[in-house]
Amino acid sequence: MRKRLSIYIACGALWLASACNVLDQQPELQIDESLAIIDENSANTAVAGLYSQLQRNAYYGFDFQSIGYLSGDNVVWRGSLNFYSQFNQRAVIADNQTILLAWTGIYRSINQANNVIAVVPSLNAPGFTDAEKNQLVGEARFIRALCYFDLVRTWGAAPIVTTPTRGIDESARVSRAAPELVWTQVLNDLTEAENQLSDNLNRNRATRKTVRALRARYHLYRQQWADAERFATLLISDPSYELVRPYANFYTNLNTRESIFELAFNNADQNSHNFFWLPSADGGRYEWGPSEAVMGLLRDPNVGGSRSAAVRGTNNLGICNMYFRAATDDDPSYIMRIAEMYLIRAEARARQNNINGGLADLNAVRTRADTPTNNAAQSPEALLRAVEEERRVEFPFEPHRWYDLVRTGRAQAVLSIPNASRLLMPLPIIDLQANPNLVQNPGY
Amino acid sequence: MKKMLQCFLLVLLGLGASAAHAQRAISGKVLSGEDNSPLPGVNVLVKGSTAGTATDATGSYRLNLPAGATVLVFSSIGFLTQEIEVGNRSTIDLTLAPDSKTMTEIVIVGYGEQDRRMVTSSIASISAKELRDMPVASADQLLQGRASGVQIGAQSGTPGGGIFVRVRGTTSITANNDPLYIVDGVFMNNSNLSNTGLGGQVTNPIADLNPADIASMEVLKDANATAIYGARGANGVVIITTKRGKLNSGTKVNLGYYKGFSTAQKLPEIVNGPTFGLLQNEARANTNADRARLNQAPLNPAVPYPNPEQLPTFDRFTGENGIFQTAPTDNIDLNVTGGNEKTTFYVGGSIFRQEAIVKPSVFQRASARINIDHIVSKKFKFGISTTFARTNRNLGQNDNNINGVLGASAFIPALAPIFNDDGTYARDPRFSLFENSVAGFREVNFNSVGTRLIGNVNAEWQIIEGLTFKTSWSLDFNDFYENNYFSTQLNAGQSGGQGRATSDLTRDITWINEQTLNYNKTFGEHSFSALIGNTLQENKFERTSLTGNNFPNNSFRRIASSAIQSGNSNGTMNGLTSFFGRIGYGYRGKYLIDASARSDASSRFGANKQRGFFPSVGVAWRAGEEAFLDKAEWISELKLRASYGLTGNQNGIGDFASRGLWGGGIGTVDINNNANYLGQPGVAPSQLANPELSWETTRQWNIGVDFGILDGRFVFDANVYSKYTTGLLLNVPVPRTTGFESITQNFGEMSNRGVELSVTSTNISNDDFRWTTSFNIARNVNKIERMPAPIVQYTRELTRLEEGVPMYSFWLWNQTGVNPQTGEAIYEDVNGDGNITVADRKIVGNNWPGFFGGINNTITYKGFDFNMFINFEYGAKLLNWNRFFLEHGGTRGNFNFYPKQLERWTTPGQVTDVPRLTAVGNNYNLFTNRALEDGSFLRLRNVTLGYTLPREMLQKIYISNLRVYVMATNLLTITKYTGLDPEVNSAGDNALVRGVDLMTMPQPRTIQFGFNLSF
Repeated sequence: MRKRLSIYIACGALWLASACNVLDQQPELQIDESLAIIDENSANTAVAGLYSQLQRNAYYGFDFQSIGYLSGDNVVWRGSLNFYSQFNQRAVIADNQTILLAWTGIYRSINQANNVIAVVPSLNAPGFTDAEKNQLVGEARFIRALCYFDLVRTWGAAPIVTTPTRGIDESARVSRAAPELVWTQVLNDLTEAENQLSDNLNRNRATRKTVRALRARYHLYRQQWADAERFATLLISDPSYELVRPYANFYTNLNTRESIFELAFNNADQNSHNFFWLPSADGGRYEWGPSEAVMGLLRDPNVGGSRSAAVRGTNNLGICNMYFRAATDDDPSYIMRIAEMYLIRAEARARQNNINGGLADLNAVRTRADTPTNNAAQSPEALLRAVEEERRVEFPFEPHRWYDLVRTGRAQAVLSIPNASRLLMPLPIIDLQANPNLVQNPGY
Repeated sequence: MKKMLQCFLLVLLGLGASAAHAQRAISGKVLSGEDNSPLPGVNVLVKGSTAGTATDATGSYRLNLPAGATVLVFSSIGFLTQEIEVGNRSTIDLTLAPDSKTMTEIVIVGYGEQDRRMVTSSIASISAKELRDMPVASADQLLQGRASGVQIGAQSGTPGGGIFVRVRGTTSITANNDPLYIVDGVFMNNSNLSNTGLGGQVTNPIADLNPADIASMEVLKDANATAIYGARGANGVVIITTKRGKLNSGTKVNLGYYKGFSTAQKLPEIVNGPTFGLLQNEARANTNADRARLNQAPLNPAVPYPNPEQLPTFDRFTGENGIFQTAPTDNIDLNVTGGNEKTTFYVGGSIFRQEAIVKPSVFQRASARINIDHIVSKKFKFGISTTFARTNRNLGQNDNNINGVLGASAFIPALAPIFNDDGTYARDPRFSLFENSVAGFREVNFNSVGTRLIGNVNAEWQIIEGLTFKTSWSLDFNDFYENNYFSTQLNAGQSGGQGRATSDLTRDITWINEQTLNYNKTFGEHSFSALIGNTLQENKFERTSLTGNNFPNNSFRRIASSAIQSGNSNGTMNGLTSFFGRIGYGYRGKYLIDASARSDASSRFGANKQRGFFPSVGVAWRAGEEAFLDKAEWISELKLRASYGLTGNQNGIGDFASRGLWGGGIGTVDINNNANYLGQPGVAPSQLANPELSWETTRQWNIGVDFGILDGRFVFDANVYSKYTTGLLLNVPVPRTTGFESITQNFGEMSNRGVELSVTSTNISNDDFRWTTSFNIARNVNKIERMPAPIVQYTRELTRLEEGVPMYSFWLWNQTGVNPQTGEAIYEDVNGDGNITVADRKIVGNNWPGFFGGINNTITYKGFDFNMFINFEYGAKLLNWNRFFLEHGGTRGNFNFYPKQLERWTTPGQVTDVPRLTAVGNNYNLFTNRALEDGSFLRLRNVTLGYTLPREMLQKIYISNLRVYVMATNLLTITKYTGLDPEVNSAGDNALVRGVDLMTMPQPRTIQFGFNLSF
């Protein structure tokens, strides 16, 4: 009996050993890349994933913006992570963590956009119309344009990758393309996207309107004033958008009529921006805060007006009010809003000697902020300076200031930067090591 | 039939006849010569007959002497056999002397056990006795300094916290470097299941075992010993064997108790309020002067602290509001063990509770163990081993965590008040980065409960003489349930001002099925053994996480009561199938050879790369047994050993690392970085495919010698080894322009070379007095031989893995001095371009000790026992990263200073290594090796004085043994390191980083009192 029992056990064990295939395991959280984009539904999820790339901490979550904040003179570092202080001091080192994260985040977005652009048009799925495909591809092109726009304004020359990555070989070691080529890439994508997208209104996803707004900004950076004015006008004259009053409305509420492109977050898809702005008493780490200078400007009734609502605290220990949703972590990222279009047009008009037109746009923004109308800036130079100052207080905690000063060639004078090479950020040292074809910006 | 009956009667008569002759019974008691404790299970045989018995739990025996019996033979494993003339005595008590040759020592090897003399591999064996009563939570920490070549360090002083264990260096980068733990045949998961971000702290799953249940631990070090574990053997194997009952030993009850008190060996030293004000003022003045030179506006105010001498100072370290405390440890152990002729058992339970010297961490463990073996018949037996443990941890934040109490007390300037006038926690807005240190320990509520079941059922069937089939079924169930509440009194609970809670349930389950067929046979001078077997194993990891924000008030702490809730769940799994075998052959017990091999297939690798083959061979020559050494009687053992083999590694990489994947969670499940948008589900590329991905392979040779002289009074064991790992599993950086950061590849090579020496010496041994010393020392040289591109690790990329340097190397700017004229720091301009840039960062040292080891002295005199254990590490560098924050030179207006900052440069001509205070420039903004220190230490780890009460006295109250003792742990540490403790690692959660000290809880000094009682 016992012997038989032993035999049963032995046989049972051997049977199990052969029958049970523990080597066949499938992931539960992921799918194979070949199944990622195969039909309409999966194409939609891939585009949702693409917007989500913009949402990542590394890109429009907060890291990329922090380069713009801290390099300018509106925001100062007050925390413990001193790689942020390098931007404040304009002494960024090539191993800066934020630089690496932002660079990586942008190229992640580009790769996903490339996947959508490469795969979706050729999908042969029932019920998936060309119009629907164009919509998705157009959105991907817009996001790719935004990515290259951010690359070229931050680093200058940048590698251009337009095909999805499937494996690693020599072709992955891309060299940097001259800024001119990157700008061309941006324009190509914007032009295509404008054709592919429809005219509907969506403040959280790209539409033809969103594309045109970025186009206005593109021409401003390219100093193509007539085009900048033309595209800004398209938005300003669109009844979907207006300068909301009071100023604070655009950030205390979500998706106001102010917003052209507002990256949305929610409780299950969070943004940690506020954590870096808020003091610990409000659940943050106060890694950075408004500079004493910008506190003074915002609180000056003639300069900041009602924009003083964006700050609290003492001038030398100011706190920003714009990113405040610490419980839900769903503060949006404000990428483009209508006030920017007014100020783009004001600048473009000033450059084209249209002083009255420019002043009207400037004053539209000032009036909304309850500051006195500016009638004094009667020369292009004075008006340009007034626009520069206005942009500083209109977008105190959106990452414009640094890029504005660099683009207008004023950064060295305004921010006391002796070395012009500091106007471009260094490429991350990690990537220089991974890709020997990359060449560092001078001076790093 | 009739004939049979006759036979039967005859036998009965015969028995009756002999019984009639043996009127005389003999009884007595056998004690161990080691510690005079009763020795159960000693065979008592009448010489020249088969009559005999064994001693019971109290060491007593009783035997009816057959006629003509003149001599009794007493024998027990590990003791010298004694023959005693019976004479006319009716009582024979004796003490068995331990077999000083220690050569009959049985060591546990993979899937079996061997006579130490016949082993060809390098195996360190540590018995329970060496480890008993140490006030540490986990068994792995007990090995520290005991086994040569095994480097062990606590990551922090947190009870139940992570332990760093490396057997002969590190063989891997991405894949795990922890040894394989096997408890009674069960592969034990040792991955940290905690999901609570507490800085670099991790919890240690090995702490689920009660150290008092452990009978022995063996560390298998060379390839010949570990190759039978194939794909998991490369980092060494720790085999833990728990206590079991002995046949025919009666029942014995053991009770152990101790209570200990721990204190800090050293408190942080920081500057007081006035000094802080003075330094900040000076820094601001210098900064503004530098800014003026750069045409930058001055910082306001020009003098931050106008009257520094009036600034107050608040003590955050001691007293009721201090973070340090005298922390109690309590341990109680009760076990019952014994056996009859068929069944043996060990049933034990224990409760251990340890508080940390830094509030509020507490570790508690309640554990139970049941080991039962039963002999069903001559051919069939089965056994079970079960351990059940429940651990309870209260944790505080520490290690690289600004909200931790150590950070909140040492980093905040001492002038900041602790309480407001109304008694609420003060939060000075100037220093709002920091948690209030009192809130930091009083208000935190991080609770985790671990439930662990490790069970094994096995059955053995002896098919024919020498051939045994065994099947074994095991389960390792590990459940970790964390509930954290961030009160509104804490920074972390301030989100929206209404509290926040997280809850995580993590479950890690492994089942294992194993069959072995074992054959042992000796034919004359030839001994032969063979083993084959197979293993099936599946592991499943699952986690469900919930978060709740906005609670009605702090009395509500469960997520059910929160206003905003979110959650997710995830899981992953892997499987492993293996076949293994070993053959051994010995001739005359002198020439030994064995070979083993294992073939493993893992679900983690691509279909055609799943299987790996790991063979090994070992030879030994016991030269001491040769005739030409017969004359050299002083040589009791001389054995030369050599082995060579391959082992593998697959731990540490993702379960699906070989595939090209898109995921919703972009690789990790992270609420900030999931792939969804506007409530629509999304997917994103998460991983590049590498169908070629396969095992990491380590080849290792080992040459060793065992040398015993003067009847084993001195035993030397020396080994030289070389390990070389190829096909390192590595997350190879790829150009980020691809949209990916890395791809998992078999790329890179690493070497470890080393020597190990251990010496055991019986200095004095006589009836009353015995003094033994054991000493071990080892050196391991690690080097990354080949790597595609450097990989940086940790915040600020403080450590870097690159070709030609060892792991755990620090990557910093090399400050060569301070210019005595200007006070500016001078950095080495590595590339000579005249500028100090990132290109001038370099490897400036590493955390590997030049050598490490331990010395243990044990003295027994009559009832007294005394033990003193020292361990040491020499030559490792430690990065005291606290100094980066607290010698900030004014770059941080909100951080305190160490007194070292007072040595800053102030006047031309001054020679110092602390540069001029300023927030501008490189003086304090670069990550410099100013903070890199010598981490060598020699530590009086343990001193014990015990007394075993005289037996005669105890017997009257039915106690067979009672020992009382006092023990001191970490009594003395000799080191030049300026931090709190040289044995810390704030990056316990990152296996690629070691030796960074950042707000890490130091090891405590503990004094404890206890007793061990048996009856």
